[in-house]
Amino acid sequence: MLHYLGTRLLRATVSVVMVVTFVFIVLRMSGDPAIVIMGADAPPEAVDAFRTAWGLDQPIWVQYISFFKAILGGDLGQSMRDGRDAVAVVLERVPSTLALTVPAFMLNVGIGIPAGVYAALHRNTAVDRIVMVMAVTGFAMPSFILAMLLVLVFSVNLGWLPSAGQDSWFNAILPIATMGFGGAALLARFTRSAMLEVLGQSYIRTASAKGLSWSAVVWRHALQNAAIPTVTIIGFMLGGLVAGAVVVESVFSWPGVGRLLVVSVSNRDLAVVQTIVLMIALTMVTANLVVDILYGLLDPKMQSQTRPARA
Amino acid sequence: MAFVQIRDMSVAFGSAPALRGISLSVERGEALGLVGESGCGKSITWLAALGLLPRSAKVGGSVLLDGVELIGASPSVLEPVRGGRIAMIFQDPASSLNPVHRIGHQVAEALALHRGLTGAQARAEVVRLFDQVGIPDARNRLNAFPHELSGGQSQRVMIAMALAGEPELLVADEPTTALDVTIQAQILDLLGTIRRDTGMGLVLISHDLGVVAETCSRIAVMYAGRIVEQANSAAIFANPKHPYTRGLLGAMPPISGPRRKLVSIPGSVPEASRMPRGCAFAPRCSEAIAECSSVDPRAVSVEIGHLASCIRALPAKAHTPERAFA
Amino acid sequence: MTASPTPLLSAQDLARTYGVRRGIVGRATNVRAVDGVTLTISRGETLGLVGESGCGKSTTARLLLGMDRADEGQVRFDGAPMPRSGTPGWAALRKRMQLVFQDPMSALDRRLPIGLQIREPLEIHHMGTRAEQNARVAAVMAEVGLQPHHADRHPHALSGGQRQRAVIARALVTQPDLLVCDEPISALDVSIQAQVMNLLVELQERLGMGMLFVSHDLRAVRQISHRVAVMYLGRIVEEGTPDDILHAPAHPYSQALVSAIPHPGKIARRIVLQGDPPNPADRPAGCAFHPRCPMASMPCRTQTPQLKPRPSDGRRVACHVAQGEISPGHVGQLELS
Repeated sequence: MLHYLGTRLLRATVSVVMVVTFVFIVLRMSGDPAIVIMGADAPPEAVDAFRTAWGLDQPIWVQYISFFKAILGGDLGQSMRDGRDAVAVVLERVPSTLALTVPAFMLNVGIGIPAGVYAALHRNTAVDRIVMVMAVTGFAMPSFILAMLLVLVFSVNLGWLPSAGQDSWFNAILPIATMGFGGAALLARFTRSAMLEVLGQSYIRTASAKGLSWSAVVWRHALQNAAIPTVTIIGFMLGGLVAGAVVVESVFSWPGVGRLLVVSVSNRDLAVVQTIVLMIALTMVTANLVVDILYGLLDPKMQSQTRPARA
Repeated sequence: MAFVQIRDMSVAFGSAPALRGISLSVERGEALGLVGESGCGKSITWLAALGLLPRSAKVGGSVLLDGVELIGASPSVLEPVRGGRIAMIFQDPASSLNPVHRIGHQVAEALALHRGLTGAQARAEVVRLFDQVGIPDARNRLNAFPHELSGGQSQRVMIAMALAGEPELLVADEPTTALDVTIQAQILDLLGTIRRDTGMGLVLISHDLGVVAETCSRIAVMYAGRIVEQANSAAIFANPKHPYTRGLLGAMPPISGPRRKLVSIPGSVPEASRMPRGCAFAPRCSEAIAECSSVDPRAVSVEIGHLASCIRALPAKAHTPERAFA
Repeated sequence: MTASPTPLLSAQDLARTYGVRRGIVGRATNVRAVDGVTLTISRGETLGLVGESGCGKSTTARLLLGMDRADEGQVRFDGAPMPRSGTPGWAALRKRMQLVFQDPMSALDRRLPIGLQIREPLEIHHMGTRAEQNARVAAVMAEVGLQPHHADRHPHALSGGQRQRAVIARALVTQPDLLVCDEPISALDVSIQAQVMNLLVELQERLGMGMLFVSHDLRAVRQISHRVAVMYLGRIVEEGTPDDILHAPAHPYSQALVSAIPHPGKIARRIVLQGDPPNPADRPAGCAFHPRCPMASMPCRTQTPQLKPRPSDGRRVACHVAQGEISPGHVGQLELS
């Protein structure tokens, strides 16, 4: 097991390094940050001074090396906007994002999984069809369209809920609903097919033939097997907890990490963008690791080291 | 009265009939072989009897277990029967065990269900069952997972699980088809030993007449959802009355004697939705006459205890079709 | 039938080892799937290769066809060494040797009508004009008992028996000298098995091909083969005519295999082997069969027996006891794995 974890950690680290390098290169290739920040009609000396101050006049590989040294020292640079530590700028936005993503995740799991299981158990009945239609809709509809639809109905027409800002917890309802519905749809579809696959297996028939009641067969035999593939999807959703709300936050003007990312990219605020990307990479990688560990715990084939004997 | 009495059972999936009127009886402690090729309905017969078919299947007829009707019975009637009075084991043992539960736990589950055993008592009984079915080092194997076992060992675990409920009848659906020949011999040997020790009955379902001949005292041959011949094993081999049975026997390559061309039954099994009129076997039968395509053959007693569903099986003068069970 | 002076196919001391990882935390172990196999096949003759899972018979079939490269030993086809797979020489040889697989459904392309699939080898080897190819396809289909209208059907529209006939037709269309059949009937119903066995025997008599028939079913092997080789854990343990092996098996494993064949009227107490077929990654020392052998003796645990004719009647068997070198013991039964 240790070897298993070791390889996973190594790969995770390599992934993170690759992601950050990629972002580093892309950001610098796509436009001169100095000009963007100072403005197109700033005097050239000011722009040059800015460049020197931020080390932007060095060759790229020098910048890269100093960047890496800084990261390892815990310093991710300063925001070009207001000079504060990029890490601080990003971290102060995290709670706002979590206020959306965590309830949305709970909705996803709380609605999606039971819906998927129910649909699988009642395959081809009216309920199954309804659940699946809703799932496909939720899955296929881009989140901003859903967001706008909800805004149209609940803010504009009915006037029940506010559509922007972060004044009170009422503001959180629509964004959470948007993300919740989309994620629940995905989970429902996935859980349904995982369940159907399991229900078609021989060991389910064996369990019934043993004399177990149908509910015992579902609870004790089917669900644990269906959980294995479902855990993978949930893991990815966990990875998106910290920064997966980019579109929704933008639509609802919710001041979270996602919105910060959008703003910083357009401003070429390199340090902040890099910090956010690093954070996303780290959370995704951690989520993957957690999924791998869960897999190892749930699926006995991963646990035992021996090769199966031949028939 | 027979332990299990199946009368005119029919099963249809949608409009396609899978079983078209089966009548069969199994006495206490008897070993019955059920032989046929793919699609003849031999597995479906018992899945239907135990209520294990999907809800969309339409099951008709009657199955009496010691006088209690099983078809259409409620779960409270069927669940104690499954595993407790009639146990069933299936073809591919590796996929018939739950991959995420330890094998000791899976057998203990049956013990708890049918005999109320839990904890240390259950564990001890699982070890005893594993010993009985020949799993070496039983005590240490309780915590193994199914994927750690070979095919032969998995089938032994299945048998142990089936025996846990102390059933009076074991239905074994092609239990050795996926296994090597020497392992098949071990498993058949095991089934024989268990029957001798416990007096349990056995229904052995197979496509191989040879497998069934050695283990079973009575054989029923099925074709296209019907039983076409039923007799004790010796009679089936010495004196087969139905052309399909003769065809099956002739298709088996001989072990000794000169190599001869094998009897091959031309054509193939008709699809359920396109069953021919009259006798389902007539289109492939070398002895079919005109009447065969219009008359549906009933089971006829050709000798004591030997039934065949063929209008040509008896000489013309003696035709009193009897009910299909003695 | 008389064997021609140069055997059609001869293999000498073939060996093939695979490296396999154990579990996720892999230590690589070497699995010696084929361990010193020597055999010959002549024109017009069928050699049956019998054994259970893990014995290496399918690997041997692939080595003989040149589809896999032997680590040791040599394969010669019609006197010349087998070219390496992937070379033009090897590709050209394909039209002279063909393979029939176990599962006809997966051996055929789902999307193409079978007529086209049967014609494809002719196209690949540029044999004949289009008209000649079509005529040949029609002829071979008739030979295997398919009707002309079947040519337009897709595999799923045919029965199991018809599909296997299509696979055989495709294998025969280039008029190969050697046909290798790897469990060609196991996936079929009993009555269809009989049809296909009859067909193979008849085709061989008519076309004079050499054939290798790989199967776990001794009865089928007897029906089709002129000679039989029994394999266990990568080695041939006995060779002889089908009746020799079936009625007077010399090797204890062959004896167990024969006694395990279920058939009606069997009264004799059968030999039931203990334990499971062994894992090729975990070979016992000495004779690979000794842990399960009812008559193993001390030397069996350390010395690997060679396949050679036994003094009494020349039967080729790899067993110290059968050769009369030592007397039977009871060592094997004590060592259950």
